[in-house]
Amino acid sequence: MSFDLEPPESNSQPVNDADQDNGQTPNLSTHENQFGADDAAMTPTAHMSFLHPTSLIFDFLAHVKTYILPVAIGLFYGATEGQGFLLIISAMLVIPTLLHSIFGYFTLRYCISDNQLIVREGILNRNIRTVPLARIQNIDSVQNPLHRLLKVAEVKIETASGTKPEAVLRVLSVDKMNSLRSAVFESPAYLAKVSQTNTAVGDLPAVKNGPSQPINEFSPSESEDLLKIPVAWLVKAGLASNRGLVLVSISLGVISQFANDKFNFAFSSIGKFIRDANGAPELPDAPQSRWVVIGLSLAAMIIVLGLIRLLGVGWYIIRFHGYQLQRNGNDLRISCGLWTKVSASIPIQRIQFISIHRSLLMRWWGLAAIRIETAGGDSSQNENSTESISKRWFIPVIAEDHVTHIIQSLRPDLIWDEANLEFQTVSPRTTNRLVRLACIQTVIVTLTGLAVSLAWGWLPGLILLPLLLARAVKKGKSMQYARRSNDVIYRSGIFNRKTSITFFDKIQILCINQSPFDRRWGMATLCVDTAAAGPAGHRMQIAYLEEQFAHDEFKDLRVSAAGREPVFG
Amino acid sequence: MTTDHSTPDAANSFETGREPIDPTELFKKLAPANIRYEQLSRAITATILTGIASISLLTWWLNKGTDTVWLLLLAAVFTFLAYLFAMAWRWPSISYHHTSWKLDEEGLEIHKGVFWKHQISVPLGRVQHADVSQGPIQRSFGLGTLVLHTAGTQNSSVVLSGLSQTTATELRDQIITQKRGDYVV
Repeated sequence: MSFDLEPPESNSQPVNDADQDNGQTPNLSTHENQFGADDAAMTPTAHMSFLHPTSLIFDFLAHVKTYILPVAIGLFYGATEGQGFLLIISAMLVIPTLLHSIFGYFTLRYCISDNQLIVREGILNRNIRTVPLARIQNIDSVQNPLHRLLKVAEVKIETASGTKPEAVLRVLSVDKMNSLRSAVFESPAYLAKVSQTNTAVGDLPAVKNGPSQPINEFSPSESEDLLKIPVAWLVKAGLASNRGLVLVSISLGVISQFANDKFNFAFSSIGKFIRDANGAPELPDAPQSRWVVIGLSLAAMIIVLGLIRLLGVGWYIIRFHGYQLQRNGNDLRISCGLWTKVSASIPIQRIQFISIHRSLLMRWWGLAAIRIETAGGDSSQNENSTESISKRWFIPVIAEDHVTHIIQSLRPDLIWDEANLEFQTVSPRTTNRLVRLACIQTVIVTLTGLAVSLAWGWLPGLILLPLLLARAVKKGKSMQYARRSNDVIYRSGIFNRKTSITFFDKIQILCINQSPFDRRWGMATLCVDTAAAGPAGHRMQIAYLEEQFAHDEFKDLRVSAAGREPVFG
Repeated sequence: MTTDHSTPDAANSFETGREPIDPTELFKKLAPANIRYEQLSRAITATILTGIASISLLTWWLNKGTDTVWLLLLAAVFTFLAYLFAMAWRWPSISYHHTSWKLDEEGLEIHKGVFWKHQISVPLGRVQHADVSQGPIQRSFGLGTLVLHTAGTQNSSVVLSGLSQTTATELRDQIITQKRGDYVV
C-alpha cells in the first residue's frame, strides 16, 4: 500500500517546500541517494552526531539474536567435546555480524537541520534519509532492562507511510532521545502542521440532523494526562484473561521439544507418586483410592488453572506496569512496561476504529479494555513491538467509569454516552431463524449420533439442544447497531461484549451481502470496512438486519461516507 | 430464475459495444459482449476438463478394460461435463441480468450475484489506485476489467469485470479525478 502523505494544502506551506517536487512518489519523505560528491555538499557533516557508543552492543545483540541458539549449541559442543569445526562455524557466523555492527556504528550519523531529520548510514551503499520534521508522526522508544541500566533507548521514527519505521536509531542515550523529541515536536514545522490538521478537524461540514455538536478542537500545545492504570486493575485483568494459557502452551511446546525424556519422566513420576501415595497396585479395584485419585486430579486441575491465571496476572503486570496515557495536542502518548519500557505515540487523526471489549469477568468487576486501529502498519505480528501496544493493547484495562472520558478524548467530534445510545436491534425474526437453525443442527447431530450408536447416540443432541437454543435467543438480542451524525456503532457478543465505533470519513468500502437463506427470511448483512481492520478483533458485519433497513442504511451511509471531507494527519 | 435469454435492452448496444442503461435506477449493465466472452471462456474451461477426464478414463480403460465401476464413473463424469457445458451456455446471460453498476457523486456502486447477492459501494475518494486489465480473449471482445484498490481490509480490491475497454478506462479516469485531493486514511 502506498499512501500519499499530506493533504495538498500542505505543499503550499512554506515549511515543507523541500519535498514539493516529489509529491507523487509513494515513499516521498525519503530520498535514498547513492553517496556521491553532490551529497557531500547537501549534508552538513560537521554537526552530525553518532549514536550512543553502546549501540555497538545492542546492534550486535539484535542481529545475533536471530541465530543465537545454534551458535550457543555449537559453541557448547565445540568447547566440551573438542569439535573444532563447530567453533569455526560459529565464529564464521558471529564475526561478520560483529564487523557489521562496528562499521554500522561508525557510519551511521544523524542530525536535524533545516527542518529535516537527516540520517546517513551504510557501509558500501551509503544512503541518506531525509525526513521532513512535519512528516514525522511518532517517535517511539523501547527500553529493555539492559537499555535502562545503560540509560539508553531504541528509538523509532515513524511517518504515515506504510508498515515499517522510517528510521531506527539503535540506540540513543535518554538525554539525546529527549532532545530529539523536543527538537521535532517543538519545531516550527511540526507545530505548523499540527495546527493545520487541527483546523481540518474543525472544518468538518456541519452535521445533518444531529444535535448541535460543539467541535471541541484540541489545541496543539495542550497536554493532558488521560489515564494511569493502577496495579489492582492489571491484577484483575490478568485474572480475567486467558493470557496464562497462551504462556503455558508456549512453554509446554518449548519443554516438549527440548526435554522430551525429562518431560515423560516428570509425568510418570507424578503418576507414580500418586499411585505410591495410595498404596498403588490394587488401585483400580479399591473404590476408596479411586475417589482419592479423582480428588487429587481435581485439586491438580484447580492448581493448574490457578497457576494459569497467576501467569496471566504476571504477564499483565510485566507488560503494562506504570501504564500512562497522555494527550499532547493531537497525539496520544502511551508508556508502560515493568522491564521493557515501551513508549508509543498515536496521532488521533490516524484512528480508524475504536473497539471496547468487555469479557464476562471484566463486566463483573466493572472493567473494560479498549483497542484501536490505526492506518498503516502490520497487524498483530509482533507481540512485543510498540505497534501492538498502540493497537491491540491500546488500553489493556480500564474501569467502566473512565471509559466515556477516554473515548471522547480520541476524537474531537466524538460524543460518547453509551448508556443512552439509541440502538437498533436486528430483525425480530432473527430469534425464530436461529431457533430453527438450532433445531436443524440438533436433528443432524442426533441422526449422526444414532447412526454411530443406537443406544447412546441421542445423548449429544439432547445436551446440545438447550445450549443452542439459549445461544439462539441470546444472539439475536446481543447484536445492536446505531448510526449517528458522525459515526457508526456496532455491538455484539454474548459473553465477550464488543462495542465498536467507526467514522464516516474512515469508511473504505460498504457492502450488503444476502445469501439465499437471508432472502428467504427477508434479511441482509451490512458490512462496513475500514482500513487496518484487524487488531481490534471485531468486524463490522451486521447480520440479520431487516432487508429494507439494511438497504436504507446502505444508501444513507453511501451519502455520508462520500459527503465528508477526509480527515487525516 | 425467470431470465430472458435474448437480452432485449442489450440489442441496440451490440453495435456500439457500450453498456445499456437500466432506465429505472440509472444503473448500468455490463457490456453485452461479456455474455459471449463468458460463454467462450467457460466453454474453454469445460473443454479442458473434458480432455483431462477423457484421458484419465481412457487410461483406466486401457489398463483394466470395461467394468461396472468404470461405466458408472463414465456416466457420472459425462453428466457433470454436460452440465458444465449447459451452464457455460446458460449462466453468463443469467448472471448478466443480475449485475449492474453506477457511478454517481457518492462513488461507485456494484450489484452482483444470482443466488448470493452482493452490493458493494466504494465511497468517493477512497480509491488508492485503479487498474484496468485486459486478458487476451477479453481483448478480442473489446472488454476490460476495472480493479479499484482501497485501503480497506476485508475486500480491499473491488473488481468489476465485463465492461467494455473504453468504459473501463473512462471509469478509471473519472474515479481517479473524482478523488478529492490526496487522501490518506
